[in-house]
Amino acid sequence: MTIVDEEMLTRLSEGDPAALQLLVEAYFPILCRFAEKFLPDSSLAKDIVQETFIKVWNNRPSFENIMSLKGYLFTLTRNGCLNLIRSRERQENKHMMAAAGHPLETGSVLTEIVRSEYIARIYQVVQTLSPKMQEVFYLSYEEGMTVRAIAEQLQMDVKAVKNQKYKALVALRSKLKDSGEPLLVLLTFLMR
Amino acid sequence: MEPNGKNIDHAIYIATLLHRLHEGDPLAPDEQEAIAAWQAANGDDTFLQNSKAITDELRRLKNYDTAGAVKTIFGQLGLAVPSRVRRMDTILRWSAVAAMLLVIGAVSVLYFNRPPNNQATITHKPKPILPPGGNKAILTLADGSAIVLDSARNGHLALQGKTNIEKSDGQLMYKNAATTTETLYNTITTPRGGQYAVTLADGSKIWLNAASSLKYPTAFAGTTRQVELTGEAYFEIAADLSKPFKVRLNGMDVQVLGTRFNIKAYQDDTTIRTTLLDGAVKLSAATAGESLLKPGQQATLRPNQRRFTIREVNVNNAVAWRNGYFAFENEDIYGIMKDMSRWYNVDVEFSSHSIESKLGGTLSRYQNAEDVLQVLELTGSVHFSINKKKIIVMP
Repeated sequence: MTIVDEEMLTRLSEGDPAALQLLVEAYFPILCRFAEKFLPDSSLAKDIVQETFIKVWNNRPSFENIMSLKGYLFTLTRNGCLNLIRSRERQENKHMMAAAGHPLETGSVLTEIVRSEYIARIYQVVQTLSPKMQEVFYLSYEEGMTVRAIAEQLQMDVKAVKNQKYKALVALRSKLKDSGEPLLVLLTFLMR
Repeated sequence: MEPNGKNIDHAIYIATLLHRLHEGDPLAPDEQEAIAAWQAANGDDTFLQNSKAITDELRRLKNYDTAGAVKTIFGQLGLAVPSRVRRMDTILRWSAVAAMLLVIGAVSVLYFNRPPNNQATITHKPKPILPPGGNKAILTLADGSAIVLDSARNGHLALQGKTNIEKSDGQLMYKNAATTTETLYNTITTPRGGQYAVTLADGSKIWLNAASSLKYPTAFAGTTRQVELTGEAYFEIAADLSKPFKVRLNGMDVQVLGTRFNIKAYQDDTTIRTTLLDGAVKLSAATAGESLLKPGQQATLRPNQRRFTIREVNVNNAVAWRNGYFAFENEDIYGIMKDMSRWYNVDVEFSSHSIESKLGGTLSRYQNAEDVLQVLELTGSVHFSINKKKIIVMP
C-alpha cells in the first residue's frame, strides 16, 4: 500500500495536477539520492530530477501501469545524469568523480533501483504520519523497541504511546474491515 | 546488457515484492519465484535487511526541499499548485497507516517471540558483514601495563608521575597537576578498525588513524617536545617557540612550530606523505636531505629517491579520514584498498595485478564496507566480492 498506486496513475493520465504533486512529494527525494550516485553535484542532480517530472507530465497518457511509470522515473533520471556527464566530459575532458565518466554496470544500477524503490515505499508511508508517530515508527523499526522503551525515549508516558497506537487502530478497524487476517494478528500484538 | 525499460520495470516489481514480503504480506508462488530468481542473479541485498541503514536513509530524504521542487516544477509547467489534495489524501493516509502498523507489527512479532536475553535470534536485523571501525585503542603506560580504551570507563584513567590522564569518548587528555622534571613515556596504539585522539600535556592534539601508534612523554620537561609515530596521524601542535616539536618516523623527522599537518607513514606503504594545512614544518631524512614545506603542499618520501617530492594538493583529502570520510583524488585502487583494509580490519586480495583503475570521490567511512564497495563498483571499472573477512578485487 503506497500513495503512488494505480488510482494515482489514472488521475495523472487524466491531467489532475494533484496527482503530479503527490508523485513529486513521494519520489523527489529518493530520485535525488539516486541521481547523486551518478553525479556528485547535488544541485545538478536536483535539476535533472525536476526535469524528469516535467517530462513525466508531458508524457502522462503513455504509461501502461504504475510499474512502468516508476521505471520511467528512474530511467529518465539516470539518462539525464549520464547525458550531463558525457557533455561535461567533452567540454572539460577532465576527471569528475568516482561515479562519473565510466559506463555504469547494469547489475549495480538495477540493485540501486530496487533499493531506492523499496525505500520510497516506506518513505511514502512515513510521510503521512504525524511527527510523533514518525518517531514511534523510527524507533520501532530501527530498534525493535517495546512500547515502554519508546515512551522513555520520547519522554511520553506509556499510556500516551499506547494511545497513539490505539487511536490509529480503532480508526483502522472501521475503515479497513475487509483487510483480512494479518491485521487481526497484528491487533493482538499491539494491544499488549 | 544495458539497463533498459524492461529490466528497470522488473527491478521496480522486485522492490514491490520485497517490500510486501517485509510487511508480512503472503506472496504467491510465482512472486516467490521472481524474488528467488532475482537473488540468484544479483545476490541477496543485505542492505534491505539493515533497519538502521534504511532509517538513516529515510531521515536523509527529509532534508530535501520537496516543497521547493513542487513549486519549480509547477512553475515551469505553468500549473497552479493545488491547495489541498484532500479526497485522495484521506484515503491514502489510512492505507498508509495500515502499512506502517504492519511494519511495526512485524517487528513486534519478532520482538515478543524472541527468547529473553538471546540477541542472536533477532533475525530481521542481520549484522553487516564488514562494519566500519570505531574508537578503539590500547594505552601502554610507563610501567608497561596496558589499558584497553574501548572498554575503559570515561573519566579519570591513570596518574603518570604528576600528570593526570582523563578519558572521554574516543579521546585521552593529559593534564599536568604540577611541573615535573621526570620524563615518562606512554604509547597509544590503534588496531586495524580503530582510531583515537590524544591531547598532550602541552595542549597539542593528535588524531590517530587505524593501525597506528604514537609514543609520547606524559609531560614535556626538557627543551624539545618529541613524539614517535608509525602509521597515520593528524597533528594540531600548540605553538611554543621555546620548545620545538618533533615527530620521529622510521627514517625521517618532522620539525614543527605551531601548525596543523597530517603524516601518513605506514610501514607497508613504503612512502611517507606529509601534508601541511598551515604553519611550517621542516622535513629531514638521511636518504633525502632536508625540505621546508609550505601550507597546501604535500611531501612524499620514497625509499629510492634522494629527495622529497613536493606538490600542491587539496589538503582536505589528506585529513578527510579525521572528519569521517574517505577522500580520493585520482588514487589508484591499491592505495584505496589499503585504507579500506586498515579501517574495516579486512584482508584484500587482487584477482589480477593489472587493475588500473584510478578513482576519485568522497565517501563516508562510517558506512559498512559493502556500501563503500558498491559505490566504487558504480564506476564500472572495478568489481568486488566478499568472502568472509576478505575482499577480492576484480577488474
